[in-house]
Amino acid sequence: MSKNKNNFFEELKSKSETKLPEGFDERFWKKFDEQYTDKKSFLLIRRFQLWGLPLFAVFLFSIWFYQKPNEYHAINDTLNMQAELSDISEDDFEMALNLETLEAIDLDEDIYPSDIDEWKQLLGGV
Amino acid sequence: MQETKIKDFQDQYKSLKGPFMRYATALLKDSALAEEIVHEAFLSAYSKWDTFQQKSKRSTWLWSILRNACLQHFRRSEFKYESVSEDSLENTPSSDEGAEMKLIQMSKEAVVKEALGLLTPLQREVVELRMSGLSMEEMSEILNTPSSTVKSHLHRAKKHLIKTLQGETNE
Repeated sequence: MSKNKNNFFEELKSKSETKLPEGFDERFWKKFDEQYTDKKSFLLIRRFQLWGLPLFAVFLFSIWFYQKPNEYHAINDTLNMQAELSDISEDDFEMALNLETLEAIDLDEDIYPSDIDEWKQLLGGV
Repeated sequence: MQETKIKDFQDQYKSLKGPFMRYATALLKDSALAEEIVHEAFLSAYSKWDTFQQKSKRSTWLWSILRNACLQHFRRSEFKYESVSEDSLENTPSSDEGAEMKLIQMSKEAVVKEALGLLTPLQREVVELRMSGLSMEEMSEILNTPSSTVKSHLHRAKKHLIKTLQGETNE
């Protein structure tokens, strides 16, 4: 009975079959591409999200990783510079001492006058 | 993931585009408009593809989308869906199944199409869904109507068809 019922509708279908209008598929896929962007480019974007983003993350990590030794060098440079600065300070200190000595020498000018009369007086009126 | 979605969609499109066009043409009685509605339904389905909850078959879900698209068109165009009263068609006693099939086989395609065109929109709808191979449960889900009501519509539609075809073949 059930089989007969199905046959009834199958027979009905075969007698009223309608063909799809010409270009039905082309028109549909054109609309589809317009609405959901070009399928291929859409897939490319998805592929970039799947592969491109992790690769980009790895690239960023590698930059960070190689940046680390450079930072270490920078620290070393800073230490060296500090050492140099301290050396310079020491030099300055020496220079200051020298200046004091020079000043002292200047003060001794009275002991060793350059004027000839003064020399005479100093030598006991010769 | 995306490629699987497109492939699934293409498979459904291939198997349903024919039945969808038949159904929409039967309901809207305009091939160009039917094509537009079918395209619209498929595009809408694709946009909602991931929201499908797998409570029913994917094809049943797609049929519901198409039906809603047709009904939306009726609402927009203020078309009276139940324009033909079932009372205007007389009920005839059911005859033998084999004889009914012979009757259809004898009838010309144009006559069968004409007989289908004389059904009420709801009867036409259930007949088209049945011809597309849907089960009573699936039809019930798509039409959002109890299975018993669907059976009743189908039974009446069948009787009307047989009556019309008998009239045509006797002439």
